[in-house]
Amino acid sequence: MSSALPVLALGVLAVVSSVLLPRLLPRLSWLRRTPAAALTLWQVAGLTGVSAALLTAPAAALSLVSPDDAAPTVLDGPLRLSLVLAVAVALSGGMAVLLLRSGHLVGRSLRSNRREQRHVVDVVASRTDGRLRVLDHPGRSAYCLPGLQSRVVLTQGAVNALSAAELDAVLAHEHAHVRSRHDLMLEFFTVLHRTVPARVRSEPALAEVHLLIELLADRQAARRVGVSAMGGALVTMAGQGHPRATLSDAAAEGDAAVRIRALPGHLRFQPTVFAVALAAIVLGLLPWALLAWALWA
Amino acid sequence: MDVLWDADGRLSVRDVHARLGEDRDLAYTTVMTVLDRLSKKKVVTRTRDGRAWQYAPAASREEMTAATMRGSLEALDADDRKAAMLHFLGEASPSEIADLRAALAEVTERDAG
Repeated sequence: MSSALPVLALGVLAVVSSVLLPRLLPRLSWLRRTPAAALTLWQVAGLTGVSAALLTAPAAALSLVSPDDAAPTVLDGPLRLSLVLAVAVALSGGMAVLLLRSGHLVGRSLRSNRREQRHVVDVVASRTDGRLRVLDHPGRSAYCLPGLQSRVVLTQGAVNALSAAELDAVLAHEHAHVRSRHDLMLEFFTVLHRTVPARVRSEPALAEVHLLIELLADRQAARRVGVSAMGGALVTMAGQGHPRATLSDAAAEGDAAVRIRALPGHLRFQPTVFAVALAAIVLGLLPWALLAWALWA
Repeated sequence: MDVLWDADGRLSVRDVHARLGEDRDLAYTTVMTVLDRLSKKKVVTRTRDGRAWQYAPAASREEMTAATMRGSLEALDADDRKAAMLHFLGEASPSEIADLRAALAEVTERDAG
């Protein structure tokens, strides 16, 4: 029974990284100072949750059939061994299938949405420059359609309102998204979000990851065009947006302010990066260390 | 597409080709393929007139632009489509703009000093 402890620890780790960490990490606002490292930690937390969940059942099966376990049962020998292993494989396999299924569904809907949007903006754009499309619309909006055939879309209202430096900042921000494929990171988290049962899902976690991705693009843009141009762009784009029915989105309202206040920090080195990196390494190795312990014990 | 939007009423492939031909050297079949594809995407509608198809835009450019913008904004709400496009900024309320300006002034001042 000596190997029950690491198996239990694996199970606890699966719950901690898929339920508790998504609720804890958004509260640690200092993580926003190092968006790249913080996003690495988030990704490691996601991977650790997945691997711990997938490893728990096989590890438990192996510990149950270990020879030092002398508990008397109705079943004995090879039959018991194969039964226990079959249950473990079914559990882990079921989870893996769920994960792959939500990955497939999310990926397919994302790509078909983007394709549709790309076709439409290509048709209605009043101006076209490389991958940039300008839509003749008075509202201020800027977004990118990431992917291999990426597009950066700006409204005429945004082009008119932004100064030349601010326009550069917006373009640098969108190009950072496109170049660094931030969409893949977001897709990964969306898949995990969809895989876990609805009751366990954490909306603040997905919103926080979204904010970190924006901070990362702001950082890359601020380093190219400067803090005041990037900040000016955020203020200008926030002004006179598109009229909308719902303005209750409190999280989105705070994001602009958070991003502006974070700007000067983007140009400085943040020592907290070491703590975040260390946490990511430990968390990433933990499930494998526990598995090794379970097999060895 | 511009040709169809600029024209009143429906045009045949030959008409579109003739109007495009003024500025560009395009093959008739190319124009035909493009119009066929646009109609499959439901961006243009077509009706049969004798042997030839007559094409017209499904909506004006303004209508289509407005619809595109609506679609992209709805994506901000729908969890499903949030990851499909990355918006520069979500929504901000007008009352917040003053706060943002103050934050920016504070930040740039600190940066300069």
